[in-house]
Amino acid sequence: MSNPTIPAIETRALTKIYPGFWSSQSVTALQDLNLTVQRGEIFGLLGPNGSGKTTTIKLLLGLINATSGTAEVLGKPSGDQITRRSLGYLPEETYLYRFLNARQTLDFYARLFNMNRAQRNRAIEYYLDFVGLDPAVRRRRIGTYSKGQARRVGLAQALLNDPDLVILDEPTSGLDPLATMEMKNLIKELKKAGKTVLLSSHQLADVEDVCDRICILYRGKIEVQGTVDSLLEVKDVYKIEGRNVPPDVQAKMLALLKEAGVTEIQPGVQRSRLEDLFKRMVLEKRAAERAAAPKQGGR
Amino acid sequence: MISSLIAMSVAAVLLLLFLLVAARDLSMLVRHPARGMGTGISRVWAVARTTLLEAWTSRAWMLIPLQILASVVLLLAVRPFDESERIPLYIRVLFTIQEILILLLFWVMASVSLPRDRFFKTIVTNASKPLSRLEIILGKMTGFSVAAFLLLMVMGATSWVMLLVADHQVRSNAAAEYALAADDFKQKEKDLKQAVPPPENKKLLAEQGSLFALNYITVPKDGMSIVGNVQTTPTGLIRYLKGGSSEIAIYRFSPQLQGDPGADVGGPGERPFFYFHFPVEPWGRNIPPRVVIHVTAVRAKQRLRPQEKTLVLNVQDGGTALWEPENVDELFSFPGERDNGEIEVTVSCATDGVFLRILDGAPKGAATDPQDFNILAAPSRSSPRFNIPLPNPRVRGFERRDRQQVSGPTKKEMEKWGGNVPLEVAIYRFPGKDLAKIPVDNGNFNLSLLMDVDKESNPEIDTIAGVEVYNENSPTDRYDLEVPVIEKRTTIAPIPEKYLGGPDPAKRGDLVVMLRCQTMGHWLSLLDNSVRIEKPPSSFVFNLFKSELILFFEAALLIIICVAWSVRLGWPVAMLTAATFFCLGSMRGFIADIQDLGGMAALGFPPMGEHGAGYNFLDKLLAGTWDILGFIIALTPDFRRYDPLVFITQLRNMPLANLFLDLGWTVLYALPFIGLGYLMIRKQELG
Repeated sequence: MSNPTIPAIETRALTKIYPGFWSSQSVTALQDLNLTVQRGEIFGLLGPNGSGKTTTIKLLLGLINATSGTAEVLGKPSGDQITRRSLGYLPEETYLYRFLNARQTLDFYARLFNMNRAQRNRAIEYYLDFVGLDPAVRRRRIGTYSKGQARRVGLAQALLNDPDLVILDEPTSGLDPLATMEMKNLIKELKKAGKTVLLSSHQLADVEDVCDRICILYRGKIEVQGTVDSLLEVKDVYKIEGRNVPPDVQAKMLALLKEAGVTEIQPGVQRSRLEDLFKRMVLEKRAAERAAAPKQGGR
Repeated sequence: MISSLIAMSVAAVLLLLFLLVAARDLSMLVRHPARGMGTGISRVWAVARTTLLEAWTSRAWMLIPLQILASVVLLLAVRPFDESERIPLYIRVLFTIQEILILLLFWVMASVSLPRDRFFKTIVTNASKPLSRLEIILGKMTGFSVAAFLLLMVMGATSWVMLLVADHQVRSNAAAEYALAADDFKQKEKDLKQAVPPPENKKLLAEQGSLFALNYITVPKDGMSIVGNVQTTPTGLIRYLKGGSSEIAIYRFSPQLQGDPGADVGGPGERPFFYFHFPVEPWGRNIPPRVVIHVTAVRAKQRLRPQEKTLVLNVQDGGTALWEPENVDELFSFPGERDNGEIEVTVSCATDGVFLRILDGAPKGAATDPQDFNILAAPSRSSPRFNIPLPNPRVRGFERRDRQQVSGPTKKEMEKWGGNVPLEVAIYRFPGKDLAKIPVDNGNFNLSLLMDVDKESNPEIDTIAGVEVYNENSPTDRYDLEVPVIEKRTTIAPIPEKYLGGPDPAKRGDLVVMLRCQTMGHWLSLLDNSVRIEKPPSSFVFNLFKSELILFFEAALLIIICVAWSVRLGWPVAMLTAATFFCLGSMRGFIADIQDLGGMAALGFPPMGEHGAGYNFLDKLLAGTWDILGFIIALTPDFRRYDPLVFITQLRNMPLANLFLDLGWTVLYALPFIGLGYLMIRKQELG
């Protein structure tokens, strides 16, 4: 990282208009976007479909050309070839060669970063383990992978060069809840390692769990921007949670609250989330399988 | 010509624009711009390697079994005219199969690859890496080219194995045939019957096989003549056209036959004309009162609508005649009108018993004198100057199956003239400038002769060819030898070094080799390359490899064109465009011809005479169409250049210069397409 005071991402009045042709009308995908992502933070880009999240990312990577405005990534104009060596990008879908296997795919991308054979082999093994790709499928063509498996390879290619800035477009798309949890843990790990993460998603719970700051785009414009805590705090609601509360104590508490004039009281038993139930069930099953066949697995 | 210039300018502008716009990307190909970034070449290779894997997983390797299958089927089906031609025929078949398969496969793959990357958006992931757009297209081009190269090498190896097997069979068969004929000959001799000796060419074929890569020098185009008689003088050779024979003297007016402005509009007797001057000499009797010559004149390029005339030479005036062609516009190029290009005038003599002297033009170093030429062409009736033909006109003899025939003495001639029969002569003239690097062994250089024979009578005896060699530096010093002719095989004749024309290679004169058939009733059957100056042979495998490289250049150029067009176009349109370029580039000669013929004439309608307004309109419309086609053609690479067969089917080694020339042209043709591809992808939105 050359200069830590320079923001990882900075856009000024960034605008993208897809021109119309013949009978189709032009579309304004992004309008006067002013965005700053500081180094070391996890920044969430939120918005409904068509709000301009992916367009922003493509502009930052130099895949498409801005109609007006500027974008700088790691202090250089977006699309700069040399800067791209410090970037990692996970597209919204896994855009990888279907005829290559996982190792060949990573080998190809590692070559683009001028790694020698030993570095490549080391990095490939490390990141395939890191993303948890089953060793049994690593030499199968990506065309035969499940969406989750392909997604893991996609993530491995994004991290292969140990990037300073990781851009993740819908990282949990197509992943099961367990993999989603792993992905979120992984993003947190990246933050711990001092990386900057730009995350685009419409899975609001995911963003809420991992992001330091977020912005919400709507029709190409920023509607809301700030830290997650400040944006989600509901100041006039107070919440107490407890285990093994006897019914008479519950009744007393309710009475006390009513006496004090508290409104919109919502008493009830805490329910577990379906996601938690699913994770618990799968983890227990896996542990049981491992215990039953301790010597199986691997290649 | 103008369209070629415009096309070259377009290519040059494209190239210049590319160099200007891509300067940074080009420099990145060889620079290490930052830590963790190698050179662009390493990234190009990474893309190429993946492209190679793409070709492999697309089952490009299926080409090999397909080639083997097609080759075996076709090799079993084709039948050569002669056993010694079997290997050249097989080489032709094997290379044709390879060319078709490799071009078809990579035409499809190279056109489809980038559009598929766009469709599956893999290009988005790739472009997010430190990979420039130039490196992406160069990687694709390199990858497919390497795949084509590897496939061609494997196909070349399989072809070589097939040729080895075929050569072994040819040799075994020839040995068996020779042994059978030798036994038959011995038996008949024992029985005191007339017997045909066993064919020596079969014996040599069995011993030597056919897998050669010979190195030799031949005479340049039009450097071989067949004449009725020759006379040697201290200043050189005098050639004669034999009256009553099939011999034809060919004169070329190059680059065109110039007419004076307005000289074509007069009536008969007022327009440009040809003047003929043929000194006539008798052959054993007095010159007959009428010596008749037949002349034709035609545009050398198209050879359509020749104009002919039979003329009587004025013998008293030194053998002169005058001819005004009916359509001077077809032959003479008048200022501001159509350029007819080179004009060819041929002359034959129908009168038996005379020789017409061929005038070779001004002697070396002497000023041009019209009296030194057989034909002059006056640009107008009043012009004091003449058009003169190129010196040393070619003389052709009787032709059979594209070969020139030199007759031996007939029985009638032998009875009449005894040993003094003036024999037909084949003259091969090697320019002195080509004699600089001839290998000399034991004071001799090797002349090799590849002759065929036609036997009208005396089939049981061998044909003897008389060979006479001299150098123009000392025309009176002759070297004579007699060589038995072995059909289809080369006969080596060692010639003393001094006939190369002295020790200083820069001052060597032309080497002249004359061949005569000395056997009664036999004919020597010759080609332009039947007489050669031999150099040490090269490896056949290496020659095969060079021919494969020519195929590779062709495939690589097609790949580059396909990838360049597929940057923006969808794969069907990219394929169509690339195929159009390939077809037009292979039809350059044809399009140039119809453009040259112009308008309706290209469709076979005669341009002469009066035509209506409709015809004239169509004529102009078509002429414009041909010109547009000519311009488009000029923009396409000349795919006719890639002929891998031209040397190897003659079992001749391809000079490295030829290979490098083709390589150079390929690079020149490829650069504008790489530039075009880059300019199209540079700002392309990849999302």
